[in-house]
Amino acid sequence: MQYPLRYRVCLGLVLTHLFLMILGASDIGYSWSGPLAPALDYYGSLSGADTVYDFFAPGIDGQLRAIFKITDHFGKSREVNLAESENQEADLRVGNIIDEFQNHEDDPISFQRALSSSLAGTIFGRYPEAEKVTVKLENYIPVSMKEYRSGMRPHWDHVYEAQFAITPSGSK
Amino acid sequence: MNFFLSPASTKPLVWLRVSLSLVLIAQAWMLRHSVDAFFANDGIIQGELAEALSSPGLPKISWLVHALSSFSVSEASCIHLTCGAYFLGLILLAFGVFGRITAAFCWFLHWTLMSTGQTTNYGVDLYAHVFLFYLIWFPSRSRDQPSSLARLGLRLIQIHLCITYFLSAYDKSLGSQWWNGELIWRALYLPVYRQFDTLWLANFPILPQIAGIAALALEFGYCIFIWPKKTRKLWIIGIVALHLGIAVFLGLTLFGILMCCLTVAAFFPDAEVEINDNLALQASEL
Repeated sequence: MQYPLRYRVCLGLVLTHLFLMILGASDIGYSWSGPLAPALDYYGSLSGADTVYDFFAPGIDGQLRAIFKITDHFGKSREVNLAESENQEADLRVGNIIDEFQNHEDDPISFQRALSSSLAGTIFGRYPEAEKVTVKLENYIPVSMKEYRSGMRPHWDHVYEAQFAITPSGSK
Repeated sequence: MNFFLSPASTKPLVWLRVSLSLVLIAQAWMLRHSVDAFFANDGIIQGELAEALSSPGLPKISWLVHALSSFSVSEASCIHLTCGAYFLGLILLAFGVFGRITAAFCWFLHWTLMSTGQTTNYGVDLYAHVFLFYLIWFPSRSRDQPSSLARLGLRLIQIHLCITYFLSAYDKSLGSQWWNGELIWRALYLPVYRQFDTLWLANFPILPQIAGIAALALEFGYCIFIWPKKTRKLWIIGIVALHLGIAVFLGLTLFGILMCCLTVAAFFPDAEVEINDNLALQASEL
């Protein structure tokens, strides 16, 4: 069966898209294409062709969580949550933000400081009574089935802590 | 060439449009109280850090804020305007109003929201972005006649799913955790996903191991066994069971439902039969 030219052109475009999608999904990317790379990168982003589908792959190492402790001017402290939501959809997204703590290996110290101060700023904004905010980061250490049977238990491990306070001038 | 271009019913693409927009409406509703936290300059990720973490050149709500700043429109108003327009667009998309124009509208706003809250995105957003993009180019209204373009759209989403399942399975298979069941065991008790007490599974390691290998087999086999009619229903049932399991046991409800909808839309068991019936009907009318 003969198809009009416009359909054959559409087929060519679809096959090209699938080719770019395979390169994006297999994490090869488009840098090989030289001067075309920026345009292909942008196309990959707008079409989703650059999406990598590596969910739960190759394994699970743990989970980060952030704990926030606020202290008011009476010295009274309490823990508060960053996620204010009542559903897991929002909690997952807050979890993704916390995961950013481990996604910047080039300058982790500076990045952790910048991210924790951003999170502390959010807490200061939410709780005007807070004079001090302590950001604690913990990593959940999983155990294998064999380790669990031998008595070991998964636990939270302290990995980072920073304190932020309002100075007499009002800055943080 | 017939494989890609012989006229096909739009029914699978209608199902894709309706189910995708319903999932995204549910997602938007669940996140309605969190938009300022995720998208505002003084939200969870603030100011310069948000800029540093986002990709340059992609559309962001800050563009609208900048454009409307001379009219004294606040950032909060811009965020709520964007989210409100997106929500309205999804409702129109679900009903098929204005067809592909609405799909383009939703795709652009969805992309804008993804780029603005880049650190918060996960699987649902990534898949939704891709399939909203596809809905721009192919007919997806129930009144659209069977066409070559509908067939091409159907083949695109089918092949796209085959590639993603294969590459996803390949990445998973590189580690040992999927083969020995450790991943299933860990995912079930990790606090972020924990829905039930499943620690007792450590005494029955064969169960998570079977589940892990079955998931790999389903994903690896998808690109082969989803095509023949003899195995298609079995694979659809397997994939739906896998994603319902993810929804129930890991709490990834929207992701699980969306993935079920995508496979059902792309490989709707009766679609081929109906296409043949339509073509036979057209032939008899001629």
